[in-house]
Amino acid sequence: MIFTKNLNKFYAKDKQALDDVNLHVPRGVYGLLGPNGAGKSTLIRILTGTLKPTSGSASVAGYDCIKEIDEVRKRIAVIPQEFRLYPNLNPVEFLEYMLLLSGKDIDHALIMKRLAQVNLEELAKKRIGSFSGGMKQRVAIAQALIHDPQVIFADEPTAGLDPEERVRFRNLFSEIGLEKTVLLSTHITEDITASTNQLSVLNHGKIVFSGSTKELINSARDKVWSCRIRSGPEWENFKSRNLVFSFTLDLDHDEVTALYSPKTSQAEKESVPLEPTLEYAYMLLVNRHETGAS
Amino acid sequence: MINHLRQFRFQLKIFLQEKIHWLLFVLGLVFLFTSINFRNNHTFSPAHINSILGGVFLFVSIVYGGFATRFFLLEFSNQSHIQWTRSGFRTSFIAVKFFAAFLGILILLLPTLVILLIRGASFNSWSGLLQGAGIWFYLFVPTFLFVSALSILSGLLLRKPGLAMIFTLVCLLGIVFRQTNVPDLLMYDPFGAYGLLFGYGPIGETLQFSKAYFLCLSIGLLLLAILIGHFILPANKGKPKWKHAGIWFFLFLLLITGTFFFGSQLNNQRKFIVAGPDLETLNKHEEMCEALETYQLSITINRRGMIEKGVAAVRLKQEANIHEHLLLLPSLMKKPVTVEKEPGGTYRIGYEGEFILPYYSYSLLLQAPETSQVGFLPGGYFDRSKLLLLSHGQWHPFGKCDLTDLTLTLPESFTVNYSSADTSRVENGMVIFHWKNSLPEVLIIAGGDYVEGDLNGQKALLQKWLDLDTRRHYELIQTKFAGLMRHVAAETSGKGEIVLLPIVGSSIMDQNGTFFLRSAPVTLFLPEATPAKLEIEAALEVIQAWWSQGRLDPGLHTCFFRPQSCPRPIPSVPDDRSTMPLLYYFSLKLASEQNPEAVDLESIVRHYQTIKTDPTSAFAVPRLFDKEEENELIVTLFQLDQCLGKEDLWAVFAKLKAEKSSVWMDYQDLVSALQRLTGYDLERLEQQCPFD
Repeated sequence: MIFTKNLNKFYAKDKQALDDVNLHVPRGVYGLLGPNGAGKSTLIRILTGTLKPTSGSASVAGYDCIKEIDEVRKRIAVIPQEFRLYPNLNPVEFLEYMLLLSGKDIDHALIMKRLAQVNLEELAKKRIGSFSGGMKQRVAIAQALIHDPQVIFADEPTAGLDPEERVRFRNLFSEIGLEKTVLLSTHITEDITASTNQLSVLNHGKIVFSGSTKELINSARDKVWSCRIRSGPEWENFKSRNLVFSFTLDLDHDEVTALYSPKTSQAEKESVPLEPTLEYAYMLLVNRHETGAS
Repeated sequence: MINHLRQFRFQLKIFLQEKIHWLLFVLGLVFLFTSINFRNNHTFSPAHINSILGGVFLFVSIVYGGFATRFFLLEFSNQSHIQWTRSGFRTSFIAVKFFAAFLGILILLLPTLVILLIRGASFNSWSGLLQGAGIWFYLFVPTFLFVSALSILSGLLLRKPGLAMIFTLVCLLGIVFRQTNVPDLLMYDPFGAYGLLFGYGPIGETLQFSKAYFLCLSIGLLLLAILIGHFILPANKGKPKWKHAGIWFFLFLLLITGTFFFGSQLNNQRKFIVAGPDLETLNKHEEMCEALETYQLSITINRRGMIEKGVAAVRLKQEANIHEHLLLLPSLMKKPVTVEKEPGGTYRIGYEGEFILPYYSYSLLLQAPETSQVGFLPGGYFDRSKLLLLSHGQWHPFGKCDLTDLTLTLPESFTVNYSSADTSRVENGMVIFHWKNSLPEVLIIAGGDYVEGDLNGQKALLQKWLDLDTRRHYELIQTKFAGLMRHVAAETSGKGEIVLLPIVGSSIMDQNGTFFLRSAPVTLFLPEATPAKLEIEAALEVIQAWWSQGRLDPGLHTCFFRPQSCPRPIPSVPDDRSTMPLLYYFSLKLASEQNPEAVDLESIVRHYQTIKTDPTSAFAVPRLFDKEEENELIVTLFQLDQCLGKEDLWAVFAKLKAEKSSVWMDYQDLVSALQRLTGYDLERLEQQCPFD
């Protein structure tokens, strides 16, 4: 549903936001994982026609994102990271307006269906201005579904949400993914794990991984360890030799328990191998890409 | 299209639901309620309407500029991805926002419409309602279109709400508060709404050009915004439609051309409107009038209200420099005036042009003292549908001199409401009027919304849109006029017909009627007018017209138009206004006779009497004169009134008018004349007619 070929974007001569991005996103939920500033939002802006690439091509739902942007827009929706709703409108009015902006007629039954989908039925006539962040996010999802798009771009949709809301959203995306293509752009690995098994990792404007979550996790096998080290100079030395994912301090014994990946092929003494997770695999990948390690 | 209209409805809703925008409504109401004195009967006078609209207009439009910019940027900031990626978010969205903001502000200012509707209804019920609504739209629509377009353009170019709002406000403040002449190209306030309210007056034309200019500018700016938006809006990135852009660019050019056209028309008018009177040449006219043996004039006015051809044939009985004395309105001298001397010694002066009244000729506001004395010198006014010509004025080369023969050719389509011409005939779709020898002051009134009406049983030519206040005022004038005629009928040459003319100036009475040259009764501009003041001012207006008979301000005296009868040169600013206390006393007398409850003559005179000993009395008299002797004259006349008997003093007044109204009379002249006509020694009046 989404293809990009050698997509480049320069904001300035020495400021490259996308570097030969080649992407193929099939139907269903697809993760786009990357740290902040990796170029995820730039990529989405190009795919949604609000930014022109410097070179390369992109298509969504079979239409060219530059030459046939009007056709693309009929088939897409965006859930942006930051958005402004109209605080004095209620969700029904807002969705009515979004339908009109999509060139469609107002359909109240459809609006109520979408509101039910995001669990906002009871708040249908309440001012959006009085909503919490999670509720507003649900309105944003409803607006993305309202004109029945084929492709939905969700840019960091769970940022700022509490755990309960976050879980609800992930489930919602999985559900939407049964019928539509959802490009889920995030830097939170749990969002990906819970919603999809296909992803690409973008770092410094480059696609550094494309494949299944399983493949990415497998790439970290035998590279994640746990060990106990004495705090103080020994711990400081440990940190310089390894990529530390997390650690806990045991004050009674003056020891640190660390989860890590060695920068060399050799693990520390008395280390215990661990089953890798997507988060560790992603961190290893990004770190490897940044340090240029193989 | 339906989709756009629905989008517009939503945007309007968003505008109206924004709480901060209701500040505009509150501001509008504040200006309404602080401008209106609800206890006053004249709440809906033009002066009030003007100040209300002016306040709302200036302050609200500036504040609105900031809000409109912010409103526009609701969907143009970086947080508007949801809207940008919608297929309906195109350049048409700019137009939708523009009209939503524009209609939104008009809705918030509806209270001002209500005021104008009430005003309109008092003019002429249902038709008046329409007129009131028309004026409201006429005043507000171009302005708020302009502010909306400016806001959208600055928002689109700057894209940062704070910065764009500041930019818009600076632009608007710059336009409003820069130093300009009153009828300026970018006239931003509704100054001149009087003319508009009444449907008359030269300022109305300027206003029309100004509004047309703003309309073109506003729509032009909107098209420019659409054009720019087409290329820079995030939703259009990468895919400009050149055909659409071409159409918008063409329309933009068309409107900018319109702006140039109306701007040049307005500038053209401004040049003539702000021109001051050439007092030096005017004062020399006395010399020219002396030298004239015959002064014949023939002018042809075309359908557009222009002097198509004006030819003055002048024969001199003594040497005079024609070129030195020649004076016409600047707009009539746009094309060079030709002067040819014929073999018989007759000079032929040819001219043509538009008839644009200078501002000094119809408004005393902001005028230098010597200019304000000029009064209604241009002597006429005409445009496509209205024509008013007085015998003296700057529409012929020697405006202060008497014409000996006048031929006026008009299109037949002009409706002539009044004509004092000796003969008239129709030829080839043109009507030719002819006057010969001693021309009356008012020559012709054509076009305009005049209807023959009735004022307390007296025939009158009345404005079609005569509101109740104005009608009451003119009825008051008619009552005073009838009262005066009863006392002085034997002496007057004036007829009973009353004509109300549209342009502010002084009243005139000649052998054909009494003419009140006002766009509105002067009392309507006096918000605090008491019944006594109304009675006295109405009486004064009638008595002035009767006394001056075909001339202007009696203070200027008769010399202005009849220099040959003036024994001494007229000063630029006369310091002797002895006629004014004389006329004022008879105004008090007439008002007191007709409405003794409102005007207690004796009590007023007592205040004049005690000014010398008790300065606070100066605040109690209805009008204080500059000179002590002028204030004392009021008391003297009252004493004579008591001695002679009320009717006898009217007879003295009538004789005085017959003898002195057409010659120069200073205070000493007046005293001598009064002594001779009454037989009383005014120096010893206290003994003969004691008044305590």
